[in-house]
Amino acid sequence: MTRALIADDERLMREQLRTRLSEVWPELEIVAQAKNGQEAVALTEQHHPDIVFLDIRMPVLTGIDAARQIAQLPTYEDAQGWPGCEIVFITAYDQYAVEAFEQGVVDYVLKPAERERLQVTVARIRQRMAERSSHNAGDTDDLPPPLPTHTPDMQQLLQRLAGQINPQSPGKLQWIQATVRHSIQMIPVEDVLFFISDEKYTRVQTATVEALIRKPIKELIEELDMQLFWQIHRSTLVNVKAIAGVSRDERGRQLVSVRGLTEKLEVSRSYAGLFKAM
Amino acid sequence: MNHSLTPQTHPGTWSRFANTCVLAFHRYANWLVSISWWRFFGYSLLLLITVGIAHDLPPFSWTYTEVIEPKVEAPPKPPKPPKAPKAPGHEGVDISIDERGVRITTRPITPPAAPSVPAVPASAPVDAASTPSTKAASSGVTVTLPPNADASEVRKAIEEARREIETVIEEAKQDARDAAQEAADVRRPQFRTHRFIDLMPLTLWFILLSGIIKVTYKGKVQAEAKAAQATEVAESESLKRQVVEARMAAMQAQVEPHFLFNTLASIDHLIETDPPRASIMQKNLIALLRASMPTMREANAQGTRDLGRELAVIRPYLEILKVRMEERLQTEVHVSEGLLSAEFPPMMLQSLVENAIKHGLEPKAEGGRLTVSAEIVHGKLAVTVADTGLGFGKAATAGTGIGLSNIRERLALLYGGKASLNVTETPGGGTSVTITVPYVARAQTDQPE
Repeated sequence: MTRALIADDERLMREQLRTRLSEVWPELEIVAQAKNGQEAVALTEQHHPDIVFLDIRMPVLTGIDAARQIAQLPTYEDAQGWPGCEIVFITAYDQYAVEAFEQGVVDYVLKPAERERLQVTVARIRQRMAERSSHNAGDTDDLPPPLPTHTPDMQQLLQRLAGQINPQSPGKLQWIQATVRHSIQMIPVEDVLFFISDEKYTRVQTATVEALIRKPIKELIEELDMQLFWQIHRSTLVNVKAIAGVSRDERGRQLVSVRGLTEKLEVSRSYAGLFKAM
Repeated sequence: MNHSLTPQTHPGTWSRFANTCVLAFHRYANWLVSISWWRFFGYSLLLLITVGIAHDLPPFSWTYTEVIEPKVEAPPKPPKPPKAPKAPGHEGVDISIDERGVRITTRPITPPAAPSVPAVPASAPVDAASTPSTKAASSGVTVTLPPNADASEVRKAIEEARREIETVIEEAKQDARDAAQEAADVRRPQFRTHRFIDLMPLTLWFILLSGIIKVTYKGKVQAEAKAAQATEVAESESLKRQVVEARMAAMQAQVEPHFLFNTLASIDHLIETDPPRASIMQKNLIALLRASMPTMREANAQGTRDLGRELAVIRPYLEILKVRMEERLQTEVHVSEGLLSAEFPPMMLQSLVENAIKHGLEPKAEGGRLTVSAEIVHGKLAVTVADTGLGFGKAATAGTGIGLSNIRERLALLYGGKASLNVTETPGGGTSVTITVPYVARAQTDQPE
């Protein structure tokens, strides 16, 4: 049984989408409805739906920001095996967003939801879900494609859209101000090989320096230029240029080796599909 | 100045050139009028001095030499040679003396009367005299004697006569030479040097002309200045109007696509689930659009509308939002009947209400209350839009403040300093915006302005 969550600040719109979905995809179960972005994130964590429908313009947290937070929710072992969810945006007008969605990174629904358009969206999602489940059933060497929310493409798109929907959001982080042996060091973002969360802190690793900052990975994802960094784990961001290669350990986990360092970084299951031979 | 020059060029260039000339003339004339007579005097003096100096510098010092030819129409006449020298060589005279007397006749020179006689006048005659016919060919005088004439006497006489004639001829020749000499003297060329450009007289004329312009142009300039000033005032007024209209157009466009499309989506849903409500909502949308549309036309005639009209615009807007936001939006409108006829500028109230919704109540999860009220304070009309939303500038969607600064500018344009816009934070955390304008009941302003 596929489970879904609908988030829209207007009840009428939630009802309308629910009605349409029941016509197009009768087996779909709507497990929760959210009235704003924040609720959507909380209810997603609580209910672990397979699909989340997010209105773009919502109070407290926009649909775009909610999607970014949902992408950072714990998955698999940390979330009773929940692999994360597909995200579908809902909009009445946001033209630039629609243009971006047309690129195919993510699905969307236009208000008022038309049956024909919704059918296309639903068909795409079902196909992707089917692909992933077949991979999961098969051998572990053939990795399933990651969820759209766990791809660098999606992270970049959401970062861009968030900037467009709220132009006042801060610019991209250029420097990391980190404490190194009682002094503050300015580390250019490009010099950082990776960020990895270390309980309360986030460890910043460059070729020569190792430093700690308080800013969590979740915030770094919003502030860093996500064209420079790939997320390979809920707690790890790695500089794309620093990735030397990916190997597997005896348990079948993928490990990223970083140029100039012996330390290897674990790739979590959600992101495993990122590294495949061409 | 070159305004007096009229070179021959082709028409296009010519008209342009003429325009430039006229312009230059007006500039110069204006300048002349603008300076005092003392200055004008100084200017003239300076001009003269400058020209005096320039006079000796190239190119003004360049000269050319004129050759004065004798006057063509009256060349000096050579003196008339005496009649006498004309005779020799031109025509002969025959003098015949016979029993009938002396006869003198003229004859043409050709053929020569005595070709056989050499032209040596003095030596020949002795031999010739022996012949009955004596000839003095060289002088063109032939004396024919009767054969029986006394030879010696005649010869003497002839000799005498011939001498006389020769003397006369000699004199005539001398006269002719003198005359020729005289003529030659008159024909010798004379030289006079000229400057290519002689500035002095030109400058004097120029100064004189400038003085005349200075006297006559003044009145014209004053009239023109007045006209220009009037035009300027008119232009600035129309500019103001344009600004207002442009702003208005910008605000008109703020019947936002988001609002419109979301409302249409809601209506679409209600048509299926609750047709009567769908109908009400659609009617509200129509009312809102209709109330928004003719604003431009009315704004052209007058800068203000009445408060009742403005409330008529926001009511359907709020009704629509209430359907969409449901329990998240409560609205109150406290405007007494008597104030509905008060003058109030268009689109401002709608702008404030939209701000309150967009930046105050919509971003707030639980929503809140929107209150619109109007009252007379110290003889002025104060219209307040208050909300219990997030508070001014708190929302992530907080605007750029363009909406409010637009309202401020428009108020300044419409009322000068007599209107104001105040933003305050209400104790509960919301925002309250008050527009204060002079209170004028609409009925009074219906009279022609």
